[in-house]
Amino acid sequence: MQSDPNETALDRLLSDAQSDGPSDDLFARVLADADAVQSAARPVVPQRAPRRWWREALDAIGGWPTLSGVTAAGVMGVAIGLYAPDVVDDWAGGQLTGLSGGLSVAPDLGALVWEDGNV
Amino acid sequence: MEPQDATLDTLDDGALMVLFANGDPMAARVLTARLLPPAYRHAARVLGDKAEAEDVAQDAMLRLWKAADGWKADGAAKVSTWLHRVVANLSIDRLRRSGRAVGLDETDEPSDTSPGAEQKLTQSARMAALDAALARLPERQRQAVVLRHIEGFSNPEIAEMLGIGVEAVESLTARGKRALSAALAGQKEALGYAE
Repeated sequence: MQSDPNETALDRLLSDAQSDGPSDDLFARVLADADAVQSAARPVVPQRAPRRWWREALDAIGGWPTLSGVTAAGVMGVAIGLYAPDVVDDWAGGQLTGLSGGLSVAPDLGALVWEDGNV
Repeated sequence: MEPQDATLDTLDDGALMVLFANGDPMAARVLTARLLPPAYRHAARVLGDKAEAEDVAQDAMLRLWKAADGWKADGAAKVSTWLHRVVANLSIDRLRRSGRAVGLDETDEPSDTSPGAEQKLTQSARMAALDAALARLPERQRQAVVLRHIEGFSNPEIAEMLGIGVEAVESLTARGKRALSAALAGQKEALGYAE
């Protein structure tokens, strides 16, 4: 049986059409679109400012309230060391000497040494 | 470790869509290499205009990229079916807006004189003749013939792409091919198919 020549030519034409393809430019445009869509979809991570070492240390001890307490205690310690005891005692309202029974803040150990001849 | 290019080639389109959504740029390359040529051919044969076909193919691919984020890789929707449905709709929109047909006399004049230019001209003339013959067919018939006889999709796939029944596809492709054959009758020599 002889095939229809028109049908055969059409089949060859349709077969040739399968090799038709897009230009390189279209490939590039499509890939650029893909890149743009991917870039837009990428989540934006907020940039954190770099933390300084002293900030980390401050947070570790409890922040500014703690630091101010420590500072006040330090200032008091220096004052106690620098000034004469009576001045500091004045600041404290005379309670330091009152509590210890005079200027001597240590107990009288001499009495313990000689009591009954034993230490 | 990211899968290599060769590994991506073995993945199906749905899996590549998920990789694309996760930011893998190589997935876009593999999908483009697979899907763009048939999408372009589909539009080119239906529209009969290369520049318009490129616009439609690019637009359809852009919609595909944007759809990747919500794509389900469970095989519920086939990527190529989805894409050709978009191409079919975009092409029909353009045809309805313009209402023009392409004839053999609208083929660009050749300016290429390099070796192989004659062969390119023959191919160009053949595609122009095919486009002109396809332009005489009703829209649905044209789409069905292109998808069946050029892109090689199955009738159920075409039915899903065009939103019609399988029997309707069979009828459209059979009638379309007969009409094409009649339209091209007598052009065998002109097309360079003379033995």
